[in-house]
Formats: sequence, C-alpha cells, structure tokens
Amino acid sequence: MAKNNLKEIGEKKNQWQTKTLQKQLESLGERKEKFETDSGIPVKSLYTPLDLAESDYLKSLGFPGEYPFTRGVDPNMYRSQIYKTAQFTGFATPAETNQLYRRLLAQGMTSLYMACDLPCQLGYDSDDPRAEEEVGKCGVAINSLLDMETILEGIDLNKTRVTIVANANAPVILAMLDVVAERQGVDKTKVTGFLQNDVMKEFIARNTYIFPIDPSLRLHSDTIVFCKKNLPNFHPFNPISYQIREAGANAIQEAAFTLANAATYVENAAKRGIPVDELGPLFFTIIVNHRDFFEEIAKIRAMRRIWARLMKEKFGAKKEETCTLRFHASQGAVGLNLMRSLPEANIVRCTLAGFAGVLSGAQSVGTRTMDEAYGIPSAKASLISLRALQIIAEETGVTNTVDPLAGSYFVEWLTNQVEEKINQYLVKIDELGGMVSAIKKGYIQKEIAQSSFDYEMDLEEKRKVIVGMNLHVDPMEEYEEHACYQLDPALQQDQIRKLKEFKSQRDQKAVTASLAVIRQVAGRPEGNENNLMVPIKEAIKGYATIGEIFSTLKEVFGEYQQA
Amino acid sequence: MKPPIRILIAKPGLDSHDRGAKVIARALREAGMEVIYTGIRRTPEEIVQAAIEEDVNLIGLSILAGAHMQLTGRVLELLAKNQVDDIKVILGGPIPPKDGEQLKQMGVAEVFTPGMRIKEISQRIYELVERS
Repeated sequence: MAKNNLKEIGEKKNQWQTKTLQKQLESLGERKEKFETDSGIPVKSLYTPLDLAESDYLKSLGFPGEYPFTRGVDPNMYRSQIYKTAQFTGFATPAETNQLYRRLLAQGMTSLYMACDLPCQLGYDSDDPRAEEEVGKCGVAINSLLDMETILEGIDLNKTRVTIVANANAPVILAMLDVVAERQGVDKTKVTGFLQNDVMKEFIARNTYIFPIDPSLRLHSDTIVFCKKNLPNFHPFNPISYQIREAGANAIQEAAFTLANAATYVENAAKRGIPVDELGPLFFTIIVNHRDFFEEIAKIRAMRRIWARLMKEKFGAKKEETCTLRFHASQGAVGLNLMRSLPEANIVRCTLAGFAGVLSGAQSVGTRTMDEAYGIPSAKASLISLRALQIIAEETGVTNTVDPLAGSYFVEWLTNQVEEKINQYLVKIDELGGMVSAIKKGYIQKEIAQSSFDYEMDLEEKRKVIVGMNLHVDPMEEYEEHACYQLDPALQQDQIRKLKEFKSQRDQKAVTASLAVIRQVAGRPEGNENNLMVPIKEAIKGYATIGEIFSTLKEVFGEYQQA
Repeated sequence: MKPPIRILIAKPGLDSHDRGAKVIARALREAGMEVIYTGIRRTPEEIVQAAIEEDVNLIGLSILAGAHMQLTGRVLELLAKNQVDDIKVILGGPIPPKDGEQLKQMGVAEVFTPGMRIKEISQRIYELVERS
C-alpha cells in the first residue's frame, strides 16, 4: 500500500470516526463495554489497511503451498482435492464397530477414526477389575490382535485411511495395525492415516497417561523409529490441541502448548537418528475449532506460519515440505462447545466449527455430533455431521478458491496478534528449559487451570454467552429423553467371555516368553538397538494382550502419579 | 461460628477428564468450603475411605464418561456398608435426566449437569448441609 494512500486513509478514518461513527454511538451506544475475542484480544469496531501498515505480504503471507504456508499447505487446496471427512466413532465390541465403519465408509466417509475404550487406552484388558463398567463405553474394546483383526475385517488398509486415538497405549496399537496390514497382504508403504500418540498432552490435559513422562517419551520415539521402517507413510503421531483446549486452555495457550509438544517430538526423533526432513513430511496435527469463528481461523493461519519458521530456523529443515503444518480440523465437544439443551441446535454449532475448519485450510475435517453432550455419537448423528461437511464442500462454493479470507483487514490483523501471543508463550517455555521441564515444573498445568477457571467465571457472570445455557434460556423446555447410544451390557459380557476363551486357547508358554523379552529390553537404556516396538510386535503376534504387555512394562517403568 | 463445610471432590473410574472437578473444587473453596480433591482414577473404595478419614459432609463425584450409574451406586453401597449416614453424595457430569432421577431414588442428594451456575451449586450444597 503506497504511503500517501495510507495517510489519506488515516485522515478519512478520523473523519469517519468523529462524524459518521460518532452519530451512531450517540444515538445507540454500544451493546457491550468491551468487545474481545474468546482469548481476550480486544477487538475494534473497524479494521482498515492502517492495521496492516507494517505487514509484508511476501514475507508473512506469500503463496499457498510455499513457505511460510500461512495461506495453506497446498497450492490449489480444495480445487484439486476436497478435505477428507472423518467422524470419530467406535463402540462396544470389535464386531459392532466393524459394522459401523463399513456403513459409514459406504456412505462416503473416507477415513475411519477409531475410538478405543478407556481400559484399552490405559492398558487394561476387558476382564481387569478396574475395567468393570467401562468396557466398550467410550470406544471399542481392544484386548488382542484378534480384536483389531475383527475391527478391520473387510476394510482395505490400502484404500481407507486409518486414524486411531491411541496415546499411552500407542505402541501396542501400532504393533497390531502393522501385523494386520501384513496379514491382509496389502502394500505397507501405502498404509496411511495416523495414530494420535501425543503422550505429552496427557500430562497437561487429557490425563490418560500410564508411565512417568521420561519412559513415555522413550516409547514415543520407539514408535516413530518403528513406523519409519515398517509403515513409512503412516503418521506415527499427531500432536493434538483438542484436549488441551477441552482442559480449559484458551486459543493462544492451545496453539502454543501444542506447538511446543510437537517441537519436543521433533527434537527427540532427531536424537534417535531421524532427521527433521524425514520426519517433517509425516507431520500431521489435529487442531480444534471453538466458538470464536475468526480467532480460530487466525489461530490456525498463525500456527502454520510459526511452525514453518520453527522447522526452518530452529530445526534447520531443508525441504519446504518439512515446514508444512497439515492438520485435521476438529471441534470442541462436551465440556465447552456442545449443549444438552435442545441438542438439535448443536448441529448448527457443529456446522459452524466445520466451516471455520474449511476456511482455515484443513486437510481433513470432522465435527462433533449433536448428541455428544449426552453420550457417544449415535449412527444418525454421525451421518448428519458428515452431511454438514459434504454440504460445505459441495453446495456453498467456499471451496472454489484458496484461503478466501486472506486480505481481510481483520483476519490478517488478528492472525498477527495471535501469532505474537503464541510466540510469547514459546519464549517463556524456552526460558523454563523446554516443554518437558515446563510440564515437570507444573507451569503449563497452572496456566491451563487459570484459563479454565476464568472462562467458567465469565459464563457465570454472563461476560460470555452460551445461547440456551446462560442467555435465552427456555424456562418451558423439558428435557426430552434424547435417543443416544446405549451400550447393551450383554455386549460387554460377550467381550469378556470371548477374551477368557481366547486366553485359554493360545500358547501360554510362548506368551510368557515374549513378555519376558519385553521386560528385558525395557530394562536397557533407550536407543534404536533397544526399540521396545520389536518385542511388543512379537508379543502381539503371539496373542499377548494389552493388559499383559502394559503390566509387564509397568514393572520396569512404574506408573505416573499426578502431583 | 459454624465450622466450614467439608467436601471431598472425587473422580471415580478410569475417566480422566478433570476440568470440571478442578473448576468446581476451586470455586467451592472460594465460596468458603474446605475442599479435598482426590485426583483422577480413584476406586469407590478409595473414595469412601478418604471421605471417612477426612470427615467430610459431602462427597462430590465428578463423572464424565458414562459409568455413573455403577460407580455412584458402588459409593452409596460402600457408605451404607460402613454405616455412614452423615455423608451426602452429590454428582456432577453429563448425566442423562432419566439416570439422574434414578440416582436420586438410590440416595444421591443432588445431580448437577453442565450449564448449571456455580453459585447455584454452592448454594444448593449449603442447603443440603444445613438441612441435615
């Protein structure tokens, strides 16, 4: 923008403010004392080229598919390929889940996105006393290779991307997937998808940790090394911001802590001999979209730019591809985003979050479902959410051009603001000695707890509004019993019965021997020669269960205790 | 002056979503109560034992992941088994209304669901303890 042009705009803006705007302010005033984003960035009434006077288009925006990737990681985005759609689901027994996946895939879903039940996530078998009541509730119950084979039966691993929410239990789930791919006889270089396997956020947000942080990170690096060798195009981990946000972090913290976790994995992998340019292209994240439409979009655009610079400037990436932050756009769920009152209204919330994901340039998009404030999604609710994403793709026209919000004075200004605030956190984390040290010191947890409390208080005092919850509450509303998925207890019993039957039929001696090898390797120092994935895969092939493998590892590593 | 209300905020089961439990613990503390938070993944046995040892007025169970009927039932059973009748049990989480009704019949003093204001919750807790 030419200098004298800016000067003229400045003068005209002052005139507008004192005359045109002032008139309205005198007659109507403003609805609120202050306007700000959800994370607290003050928002002005109007943005003009003056707010971008310092911006350098080529340096900070550039072109899609090129550094610093602010405008997107692909040059032609949705004109070449529509974002992938995936609904997060899975429940009860492996057989039930297999049926659901096959139905959704037949309806045009392109990736399956697997939820494991809590016992599986924490390394317990379905017949463990601690697993009682939880079997098959928040996801599918998985005990052994047999279960994974059932879940993926009839699903071609070369055609369907597989995403699995496995974190502390990731090593075992990865080994299972690898063996299933071998037995299906598919081309292992064409198996795509990802494991969540973001164990660091377990210690600050999601809490489904098993081992203390150091052995957890050792196992994490083991999975990366194993994956590079065995399933080279499968993303061995994807840093995820979702649970950090759900734990109460604001948009800035969510972005900063996720990037800091991701950077830690890159550093660790380098120590294990995987250079940044080999890991980078496998990088895939899940970023959540919350309610503040523009702040969420600004956050994602800023994250892409920060990540690109981190990879290039800090980690010395040589390949452009290494600097791309590819991501799945997800949506906040029960805690902060979806309401129980009039659940159908959540379809609108889901659609808006999906829409923000598309406008931020997501590689795949998934939304929540209207009934998730009640329980895990019913098949119909999953289908409605899938339709919303298909409607955005096919009917609205927003996919016709790349990064359509670029150049909006407000969006670009906000992207710069958000970037600056994320960077402030990253500097602070560096000062604390890096993310692992910041977590061990409790700094991250404290920051999240404070934001979470502030947000609740803002709702309490109606400084923030959730329609139907603290504003426009319908006093006549009666809760209808919402038809959400109810787990049939007979299915839980069935899973436990099958597990017992299965255990009695396998070669127990071989299982015991394979567990002994795991114990032995775990006792040795971290390193590629002591990669735990090797004995874990052997044990899986011999039908050792998740519970057996994890209790063996606990003997060596101990269990994490929250401070 | 009456001694402050003592409440044990507890998370039973494997569900580890503790945002709600932590917010409520802090808010009740700020409302003048003495709050003990168990941390995540506690068994009903550990919770009831802690409640007895800490001599609390109430146990506030926070459950997100769907096993509320069984886990809450187990806590009530264990209280009865230990002949504890001066500790009330309240519950918070996305509890379906039908289950909420049933839990109250089983002996839960109050069920708090998402969207309730913290002021209402703390006031209701005061009422519950006053009444006993």
